Amino acid sequence: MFKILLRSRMAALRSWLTGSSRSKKRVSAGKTALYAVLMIYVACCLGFMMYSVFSAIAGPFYKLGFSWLYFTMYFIMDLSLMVIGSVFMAKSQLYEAKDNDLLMSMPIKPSAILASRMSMLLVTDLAMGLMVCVPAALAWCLKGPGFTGAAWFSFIVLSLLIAFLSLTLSCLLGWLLSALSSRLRRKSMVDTAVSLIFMLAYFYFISKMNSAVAALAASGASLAGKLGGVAPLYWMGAAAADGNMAYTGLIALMCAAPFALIYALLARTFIRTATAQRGFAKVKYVDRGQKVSTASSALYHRELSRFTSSSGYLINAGLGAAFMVAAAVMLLIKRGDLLTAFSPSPQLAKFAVPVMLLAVCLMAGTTLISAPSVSIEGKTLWIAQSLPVPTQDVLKAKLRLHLSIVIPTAIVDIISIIAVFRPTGIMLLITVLLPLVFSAFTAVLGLWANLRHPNFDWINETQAVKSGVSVMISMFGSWGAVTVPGILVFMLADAIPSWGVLGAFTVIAAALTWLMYRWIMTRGAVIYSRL
Amino acid sequence: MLRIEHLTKTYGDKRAVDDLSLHIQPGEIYGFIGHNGAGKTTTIKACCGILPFDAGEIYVDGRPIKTEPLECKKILAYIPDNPDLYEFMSGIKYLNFIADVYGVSRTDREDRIRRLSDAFALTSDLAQPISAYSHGMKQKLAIISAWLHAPRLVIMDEPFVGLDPTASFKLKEMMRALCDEGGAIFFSTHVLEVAEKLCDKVAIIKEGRLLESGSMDEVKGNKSLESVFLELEGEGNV
Repeated sequence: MFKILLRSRMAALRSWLTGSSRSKKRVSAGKTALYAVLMIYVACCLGFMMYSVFSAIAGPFYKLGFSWLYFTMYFIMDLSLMVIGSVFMAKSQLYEAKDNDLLMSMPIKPSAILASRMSMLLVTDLAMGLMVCVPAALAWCLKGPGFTGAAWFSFIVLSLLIAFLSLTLSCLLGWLLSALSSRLRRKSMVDTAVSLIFMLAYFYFISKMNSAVAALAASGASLAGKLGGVAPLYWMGAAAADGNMAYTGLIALMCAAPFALIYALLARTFIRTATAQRGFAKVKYVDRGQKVSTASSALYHRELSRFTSSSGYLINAGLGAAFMVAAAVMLLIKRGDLLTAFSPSPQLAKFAVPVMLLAVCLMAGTTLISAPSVSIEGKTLWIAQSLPVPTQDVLKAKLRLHLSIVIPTAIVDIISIIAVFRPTGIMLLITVLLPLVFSAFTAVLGLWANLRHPNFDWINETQAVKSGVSVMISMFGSWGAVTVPGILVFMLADAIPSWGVLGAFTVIAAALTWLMYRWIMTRGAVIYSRL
Repeated sequence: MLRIEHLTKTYGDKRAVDDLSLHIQPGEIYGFIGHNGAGKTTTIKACCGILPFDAGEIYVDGRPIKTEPLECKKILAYIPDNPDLYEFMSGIKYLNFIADVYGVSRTDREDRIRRLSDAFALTSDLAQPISAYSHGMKQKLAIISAWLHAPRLVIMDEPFVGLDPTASFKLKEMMRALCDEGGAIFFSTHVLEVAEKLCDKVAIIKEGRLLESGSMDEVKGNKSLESVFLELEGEGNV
């Protein structure tokens, strides 16, 4: 029974990763290849980032005699990435899975259901762990002394077992999140807040990584003193550094024992946990009269409600807009530093505004509100299709939502750029127009792509937002579009002024926006009404 | 009120509906019966203008659904077999959304929301998010939203599934009241006893083709609707 359940979990994971459907539609080779390329790209980016960290500390730590600290750092980073990456999956797969009721009504042991779900989480953890494990091992071989046979054994065994410790923590945190969010009227609040905390921590880490790594390499001794005081952290590092079997056994036990405990606990209480009706206090309706608005406003507010009620949609699709606001604030705060950075020569100074404008366009390209807006209608699509409103109005509401989020943020960026760099003449005009035009471009590109590649075979909204082809087309299409003028501005700097390149880019983006908009309002509307 | 003429719809090689013709007059409750996969839902969706069809024509109050879909949708209401509503909205928000789109005035919507939600015992739950509703509550909300713009034609796919006895009774009353006011009801059901007692006319389809249609008395004669249905199904199998 466990094997059957495990097979179905793995099929679900594969389906999620490749974006294939539950309706047994054949996934095209092109789509599979696109997903594979994307996965490899993301893995390579993260792996490269990790390698840069480990290669910076491997040599200094070895020379200082703190090889154990290198591996302690590795295990901590490995564990953190795995826990952050799998906590939401643990929450949805273990405690909120829609098929829990169905499976528990069958003659299947709860422990088998649990084991199959945990196995999938373990595979996910191990896959994420590889992105830290391989760079750490590579850096130690290339920049450090390399591994002895016993050290290899300990490193591999503990790398595998640390995934069990991560699984234990994910199960606990997932339970806590599930319990918290189920007690709130707006469940998405907890998910959004926790996701933002994780994301801020991640970006803080990235922004501070270079200085942190330098500090680590320089202050290995003091850090070793602090961490060495915590015996398990020392055992963990020493086990992999020296191949110390006693320490390996101890750490293996410390990873396996909590996992065994949590598995036994969850297996005993799985039915009760999975069927717990935690619920929130019921709000009684009080009739205070109804507000009337136009059909157009109602359609817009429908889109807005959907966007703000889903943490997955909000975070994954709206992150670019948040970045745009943050960038505007940072631009004003770091005004002096930026002016100094671009001031050494007039040649460099002339690139300041173009670079800022293209950065704003890149962030606008990361705002993906319209890209999943058709797919996310899912099984409720019949409502919009049966309403007595032109399909064009439904599609316009989707564009309006995207624009109402991204245009104000673009304006904030425009004001900041003008305030800091004070462009004049044509460049001032382009500074005003380009972010606005490109924001409109990203809105229509997303909707155009989603009408061409709708996907209604999703299990949860986050999947609809994250794994759709339209989202990838929109994001990479926007980035690709920004890259071309970005290269041309520098390559043709002597022949064409940057305002010329950016002006042409603005005109082309405006033309493409108009063409796609016309397509959406004609062919796109027909496609939508027939979905 | 609803005229279906030679409707044909294919999915790939399969003919889901094959040359189907029906006429639902004002004042009629018209039942639509058939086994699973007979083509009922396909026909119903085509009548509501949410599924394009290959051949034939559908007229709602004399207007062709193909060329005048918006005018048709303004006077009809549709309740699907599975009430997948906007779970991100509360019940009252959903009703207001529907009322806004159909242009229902403030006084009309306040009166209808109050009256209908009281009738279905849903008033106290209107502030709850739809995601917290049971299947039956969602079905009640779908019914309230369908009646909110005072439609003249209501098309329903298995409307009694998930309803408690009180709500089922109320729905039957509302169906009859709408027809008494000159409206019409076209609905599919597997509950033949309900169809027999409630419907003025009935149509039985199998594999997309019309087997029998007419007034209840014409179709069943002295037999029960169930035995007629089973006989016709049996003949179709020979």
